Amino acid sequence: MSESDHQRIDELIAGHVLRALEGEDAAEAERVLAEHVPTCPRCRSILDELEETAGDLALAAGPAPPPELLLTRLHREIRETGHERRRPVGSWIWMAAAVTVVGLTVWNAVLHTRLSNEMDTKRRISTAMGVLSQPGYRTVSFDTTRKAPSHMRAAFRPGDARVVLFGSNIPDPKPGNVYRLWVGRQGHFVPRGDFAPEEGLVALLFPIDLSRYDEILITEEPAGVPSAEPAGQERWSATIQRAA
Amino acid sequence: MPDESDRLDLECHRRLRQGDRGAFEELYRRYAPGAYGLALRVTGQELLAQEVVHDAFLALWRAPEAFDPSRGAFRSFFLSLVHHRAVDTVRREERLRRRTERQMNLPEPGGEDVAEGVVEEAWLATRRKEVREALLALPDEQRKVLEMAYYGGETQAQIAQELGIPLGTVKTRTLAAMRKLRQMLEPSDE
Repeated sequence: MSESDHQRIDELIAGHVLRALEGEDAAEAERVLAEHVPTCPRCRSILDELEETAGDLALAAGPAPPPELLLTRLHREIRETGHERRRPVGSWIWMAAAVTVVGLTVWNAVLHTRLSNEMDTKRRISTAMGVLSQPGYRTVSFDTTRKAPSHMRAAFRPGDARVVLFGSNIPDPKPGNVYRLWVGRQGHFVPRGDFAPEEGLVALLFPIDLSRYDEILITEEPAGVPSAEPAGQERWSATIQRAA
Repeated sequence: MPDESDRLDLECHRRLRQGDRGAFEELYRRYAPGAYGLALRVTGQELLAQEVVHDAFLALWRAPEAFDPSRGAFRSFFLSLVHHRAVDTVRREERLRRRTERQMNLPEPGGEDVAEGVVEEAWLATRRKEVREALLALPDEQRKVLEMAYYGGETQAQIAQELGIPLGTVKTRTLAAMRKLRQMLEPSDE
């Protein structure tokens, strides 16, 4: 790689750590960060240094006392959620329910073995079955940007604020990344949750009334880094057709 | 002492990964004022800043493994998380145009912070002074693009349009500014 190439990459990294890229630059930075930087010690070093410098810039803003109620609010939410990680806890359970309803015929024996150690298994399966066995459920198939065969579907019933997302042959996101589910209406997307597959399988229940949206999207994003709009690489997308 | 501060952060992070709420509170005590000040600076609104800090700490609680100690200091990681969240919030709220009317210049070096009652480590206050001095030591045109991007939450394309300069010039100035800051803020080997 030439010196001018590295100059270009350095500029992309600087823009990236400042969150100042958009459009083609943002896409190129993502590609460079995914493909080149991990293999180039020089660029890894530049990335770490510029990230640290950006962190220093934060200090210059000066401290301000946060509202007293903020910590109280955080305490309450942490108490309610426990040490909940953004993993598809119980996904095997949801998969068991999903495959029953939509006719995917594999995994059941494996699933029941894996489920044996889960708490409140019966209740979860019962809930899933209750959701998916109700009349009027529709499934949405996703298009994928991946070359490898993978299948992602969502099942929902208009007016019912629950969506079951299930997939097979789903590759793991890159180390440090997660998949992020977005729902969109008229081009405006909101994030609804992060997940990662377990041994290629995904089965999750999201509290969303999908009939209120016209698109559903899954992107790959850095773990633990919230984003207000899809910034990572798009992996699966689907258009939600209005019911006749 | 940055080393001692970093060591404390690492210990808190280790405990956080085990679900230790005391470690979470300790990190909140150490970084909430800095995070809130940054979010306030970027968003310009107390309610938005509060949401940004709330979401950042909750994300930290839920996914502490997102911080990789081998890649730098916890402080840089967490404040970058806050910054990204703040920038995303501003863009979502479409308040960029209003915010361009705000004062962009940093307080003079040595000037007092407006935040009363914020107790922070002496090392952080010293580092803050160093960063502000380093920023003011940058050529005006480089400092301008850096401040518009970082504190203003503007993209490089927006900055180019606003300043009436080529996008390539914004990129070049940004990188030059970051490199100079890095040189000025790098710990000496002595």
